Amino acid sequence: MHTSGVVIARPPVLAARLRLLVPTLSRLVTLSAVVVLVGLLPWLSGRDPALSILRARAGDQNPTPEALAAIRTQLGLDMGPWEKLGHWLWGLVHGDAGISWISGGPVLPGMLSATGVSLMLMLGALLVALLTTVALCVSVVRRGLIGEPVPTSGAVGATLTALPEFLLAAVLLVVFAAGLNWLPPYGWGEWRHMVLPSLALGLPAGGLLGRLFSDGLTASFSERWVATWHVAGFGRRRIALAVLKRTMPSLMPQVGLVVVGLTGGAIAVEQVFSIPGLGRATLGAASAQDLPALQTGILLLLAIAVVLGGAAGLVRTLMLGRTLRAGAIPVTRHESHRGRWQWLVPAVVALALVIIIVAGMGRDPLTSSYLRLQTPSLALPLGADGTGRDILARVSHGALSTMGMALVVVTITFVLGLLIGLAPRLAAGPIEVTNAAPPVIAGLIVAGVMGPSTSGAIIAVTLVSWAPLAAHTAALVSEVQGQAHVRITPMLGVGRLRLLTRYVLPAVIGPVFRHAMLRLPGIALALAALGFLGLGPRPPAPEWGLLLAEGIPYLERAPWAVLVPALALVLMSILAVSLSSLWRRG
Amino acid sequence: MHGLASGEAPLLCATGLYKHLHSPSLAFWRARTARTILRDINLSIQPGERIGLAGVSGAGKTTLLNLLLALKGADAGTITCQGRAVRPASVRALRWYRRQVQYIPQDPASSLDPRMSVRDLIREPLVRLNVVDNHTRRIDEALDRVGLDQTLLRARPAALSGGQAQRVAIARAVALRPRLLLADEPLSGLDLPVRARVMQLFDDMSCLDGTAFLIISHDLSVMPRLCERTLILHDGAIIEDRPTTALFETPKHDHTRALVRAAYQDHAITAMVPAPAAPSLYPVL
Repeated sequence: MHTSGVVIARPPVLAARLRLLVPTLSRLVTLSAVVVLVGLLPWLSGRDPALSILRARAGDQNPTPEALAAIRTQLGLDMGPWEKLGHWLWGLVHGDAGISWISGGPVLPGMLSATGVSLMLMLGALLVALLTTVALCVSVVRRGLIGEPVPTSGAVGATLTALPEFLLAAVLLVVFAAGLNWLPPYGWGEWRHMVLPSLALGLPAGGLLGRLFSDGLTASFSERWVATWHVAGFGRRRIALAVLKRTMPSLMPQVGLVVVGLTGGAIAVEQVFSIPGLGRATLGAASAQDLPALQTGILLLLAIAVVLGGAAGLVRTLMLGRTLRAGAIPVTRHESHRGRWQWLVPAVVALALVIIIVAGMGRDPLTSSYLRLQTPSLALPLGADGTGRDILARVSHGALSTMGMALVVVTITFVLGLLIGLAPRLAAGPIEVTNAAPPVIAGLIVAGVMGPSTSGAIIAVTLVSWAPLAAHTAALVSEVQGQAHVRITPMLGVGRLRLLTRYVLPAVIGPVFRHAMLRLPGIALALAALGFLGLGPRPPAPEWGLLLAEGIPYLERAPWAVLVPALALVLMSILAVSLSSLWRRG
Repeated sequence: MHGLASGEAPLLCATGLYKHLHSPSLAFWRARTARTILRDINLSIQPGERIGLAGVSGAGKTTLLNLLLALKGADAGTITCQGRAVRPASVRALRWYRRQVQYIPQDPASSLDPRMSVRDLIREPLVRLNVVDNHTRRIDEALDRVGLDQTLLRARPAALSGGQAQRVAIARAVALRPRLLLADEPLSGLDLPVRARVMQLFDDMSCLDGTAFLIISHDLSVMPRLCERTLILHDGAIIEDRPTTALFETPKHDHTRALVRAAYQDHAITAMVPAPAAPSLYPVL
């Protein structure tokens, strides 16, 4: 900070202390901003639900202006935005979350029972994730104990991570419920209903955690003290436990993010398996524009996310506390294991995607010129969908539209990330909150304001995707500011603006741009997830998530209508994961 | 601006400097522990004078340097340059001081921006500090002074040898024609021929241009060759401030004695060379 030019003459103690508080304040401000935003949703959306409520309550009553005005007064729609916000917050504190704009009944009881269902689902998913993580790490621990720590190849983990929840849910539904008939396809109540949703939600999380832990454990096993302990004759179990205890704290932030991510994933899984959970209720509220229900749902989702994230942070502090205060954390040696084939997987997958796009470019994605669910043939290589449209054409054009949207998002996030990353202290709160917020929740908020649309999906994904780029920029900036040629700039009379444009930005722009580009497929997937949930482009548009959603009703009669878009999304997912692991190593 | 150029006024004068270090507290509400890094530092540098500042690591050399460069503010005491107060301020407000007092960093090679050519590197402070003169002439002159070839003007730092990079960094400071140069360990890490060159360059500058030097080093053995006067900094206080020869002959403090002994053991030959009266007359090693 002191290299940036102006330094205060006498560092005032109070100001220095306040500066320590900035990140905390920033977090609080961001959280309250989100709550205020949610509270203002009805006003922001500018919708008037009086008529629909009147219909719901008394279908035969004439919608006279007086009756409508009475309902508006009762709902507080005639209040100004801030008065309404205060009213809403006051109600929340007293256990009243408002009245549904659709049914006219109170919102909170239904939402709370839905929350119970969602928590059950998340618990099951956490169990699955835990088992997956343990399974993926067994060989790492075994090899670490005989003194040759090598991370697992990560192929299983990578494949599991590659499948976003909505996709895995659809695939499980096709295979185990529709194909093999082993388990019920939807519903909720007995344990059999919980198996597939828990797997769909828990496996990707477990795959990601498994990869993180396998890397982390390998790093800990290669630290010097482990060899010392071996020589000193400590037992294997004791060393394994110590290594685990050493690895856990540094991974807790990521574990927190993964667990918080479950709240977003649960929405999609509940939607696919028709589980009456919080996510599905909130999604329904968003598509019906039932804003009080939407507000409550988002708030409950956020509360779950905050509690889970806070728990992860607390665990980290408890485990690390004394060591952290003593500044006695051993140094991990980071070894890069770059394979010669690191570019092979992304290249092959990208090629396959290009082939699909080129093959379907000249075909028409919108007209229904074939039979409904026509089987694949030479003229129609991938068959037709439920309304007789060419699936190949739709997948190909969908790739272009999804990729185009993703490109827009990447461009905006690149600029935003750079700008915000230059003020890292102020941005601490927004970075953390948006890092933790699943895109689906952002999609719900945006859909609440402007209704589901393509631009809404772009805005939602942008809102939560700039944070990693900003964090990266901030890290690079502090690195550059520590370099000797930047530290000497005050002596050369280099002012702030010039320091930024001539010294800092040129060193930062390149790496951040590459990072942004590597995130392209991941962002495309997030957009597809929104499309799948109906929070993105509207139906006739050929968008991948939408294609998958449209195919699911015809699962049993025309599996290809689901499999083809699912396969395309799997390819995209593999591309995203292989590129992101490239990023982490490079 | 240069009104006070009479021989009486010291070029740089520090009186009663104190600096405390507050170790960062983990939680904002906890009291922080303060440690005194510098206590009652008094120092004055006359035009053309060459002063050494020696002390073991942790004695406070770097902190004092930061205060003298107006990068950090003192907790008590004042610094004046030709009668004008010097304290941390905006880049704009300190331009006059940067033109008078320049700095050669400890590892000059890494202080060159890898994206700039030698010409841009040397021109940067001329432009930024509003030097009203022919910049091209100043650059040529500075290169000439440090003995670098004009052909290097387009080179980037990566293409320079260690010695060349060192001289570019010195040329960058020299091009401003400063009245005082603060050099942090100017000889450490240099091979012998480059060392000799740098020493010769310092000799020339102080004799021909009347540039003053403050040379900071943890190693006392370089002082007899470079400085007429040497200050010993110990535990944040100046414990000796005497002509270098006298300091070597009759060290007063135990710490000075230890430093002198170390210098003799390490560089017996250099240390025995008495402080030169007319530096440029002495052969270089």
